[in-house]
Amino acid sequence: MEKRTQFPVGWLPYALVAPQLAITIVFFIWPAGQALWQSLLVQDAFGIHTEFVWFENFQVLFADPTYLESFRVTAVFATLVTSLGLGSALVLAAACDHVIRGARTYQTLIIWPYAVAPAIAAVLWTFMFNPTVGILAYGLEQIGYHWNHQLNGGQAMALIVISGLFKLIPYDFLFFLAGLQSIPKSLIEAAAIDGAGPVKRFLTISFPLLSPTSFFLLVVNLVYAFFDTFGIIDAATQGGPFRSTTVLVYKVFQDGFKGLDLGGSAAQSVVLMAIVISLTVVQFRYIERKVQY
Amino acid sequence: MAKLQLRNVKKSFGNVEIIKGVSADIADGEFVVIVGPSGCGKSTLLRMIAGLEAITSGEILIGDRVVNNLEPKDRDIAMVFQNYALYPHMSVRQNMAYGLKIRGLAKDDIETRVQRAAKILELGDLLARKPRELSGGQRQRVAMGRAIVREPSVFLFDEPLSNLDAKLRVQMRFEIQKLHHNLGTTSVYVTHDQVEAMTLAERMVVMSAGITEQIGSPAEVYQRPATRFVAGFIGSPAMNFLPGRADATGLTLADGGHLAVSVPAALAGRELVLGIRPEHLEVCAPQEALFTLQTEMREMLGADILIHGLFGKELLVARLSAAEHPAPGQALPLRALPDRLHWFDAASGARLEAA
Repeated sequence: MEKRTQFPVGWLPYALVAPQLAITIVFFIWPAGQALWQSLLVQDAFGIHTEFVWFENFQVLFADPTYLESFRVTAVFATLVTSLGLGSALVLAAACDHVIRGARTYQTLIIWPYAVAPAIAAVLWTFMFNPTVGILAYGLEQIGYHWNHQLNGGQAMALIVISGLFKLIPYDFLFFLAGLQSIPKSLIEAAAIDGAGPVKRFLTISFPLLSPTSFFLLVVNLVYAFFDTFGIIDAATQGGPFRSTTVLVYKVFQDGFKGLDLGGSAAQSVVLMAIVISLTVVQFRYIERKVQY
Repeated sequence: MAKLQLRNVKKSFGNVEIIKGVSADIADGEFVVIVGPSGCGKSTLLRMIAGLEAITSGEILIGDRVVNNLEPKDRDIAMVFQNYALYPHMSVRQNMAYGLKIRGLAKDDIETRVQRAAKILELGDLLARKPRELSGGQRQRVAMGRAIVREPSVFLFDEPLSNLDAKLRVQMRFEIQKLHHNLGTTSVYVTHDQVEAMTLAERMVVMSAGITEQIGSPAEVYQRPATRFVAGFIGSPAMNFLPGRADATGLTLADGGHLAVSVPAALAGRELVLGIRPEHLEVCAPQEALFTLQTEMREMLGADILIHGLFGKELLVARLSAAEHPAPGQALPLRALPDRLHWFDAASGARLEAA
């Protein structure tokens, strides 16, 4: 027996989903299809002659050492941003959960940076680290450390990691704090009576109970580091010096819009698309089911 | 196992004094119930014994140690929480073993203790389950198991049955009693439910607004309530109170009504409150009656019937055998035996002895 109510099928259901379908087609399926098609073509710089080349763009791409280097840069960047972001947000949230006086002020101050647009955050930090006039660069100079992210690739990476974290930590903090506050107080008290000290309580009770939040944030942070940091990089380093901060998404832009290699750029977009899809699959298939208690 | 002593324990939150000096001596192996209406400070008192709340002044001793400044884990206590507070990500076995593991007990030792507790509480088949796969009663038993395995000197129970349905509550009451009989561990049990308090307690502490009204066995508290508050709080339906002035002929009420009751000589001429339990009223001939009740409403309980009615302006209740069923509006002559009457001072509420 079918338990759900059945309605006679007419035009209404189609009409009701049509707007959603139209939006998905226009803003997702169509451009994605364009990218897929584009990735199989080679076009000259003036757009006069186009040739269908099957998977040559991909072959060229994976033979290109600068592309593989970009993978490495992305991996370093994503790992640093995600681990530092999750780690410091968790520490701040755990601390904030213990603060009694002025907790609201403290929370608000931590959340503020989230309201700053990414590009502005990057400009802010670039300015503070500016080798000539930046206050932080000046401070580093005073303690004998020479800072110039325009020349030093490692320092450029540090700059975009800091700019990226500036926005990410408040976001993670908010989720972690909400997660910590939803843990019943009596659990912590029971653990205290059972003999666990504050650190042990955090490690054996609070942290395991936060695991759904942590995994959710892990995926969100990875997606952020992979795809949403374009504005930061463009404003802070423009991928330099010497490609040391050219992450995958920035390379798509550089090769496509500056190098005018549309086919190669489209092939890179397709690779990125595959990464997003697999991350999403991981989140839905694996994490949403496994991480619960 | 150990005795537990409270010496003039006080607690303030800011300027508000929640507990205004509680003293009690709880003997080794005794089962004491702290009972009182919500907000009387009973849970706070228990949490102070557990070490979850700081003590503003006074002393708490477990065994012969003053524990005021000890961490909960160093007080040698175990607590059962109202919402059970089971660790949701751990199995029943891990829940019970958690405290033992932290204390660094050997693996076999932990397993033996868990198995023993599981056997006592009939949790043997459930050890591998997670708390979310258990029913309310089973969770309650796991929470008790977690307390038992620790083999503490004192068990603390914070309204452990209030999340269960009525039938399960009766069953768990039996089990807690059986458990205490077998283990003989000193226990402090907090509840707002007077039936739980009466049935479980060896001695009970009746609290109201941060002070102890009476400490005594359930029978003492029922038969000789120390204050008007205790008299009204313990017993269901609540005791009838008739405030008035005592004279040679009896008690004259505020609304002019007169009760032909023999007031003890020592109490003559004072403002008093007469207390009579509904179950101690009985129907009698009009000339023997203490007062006549104008029946207003009846509540049939099965074996008994509750008659609500007016004497002058006072609304009173009598609990009679179900054979009596006066019609509404009918006048019902009632009396009570002299030794069933309770006298309280009108101003202080303190019990006044007839002798």
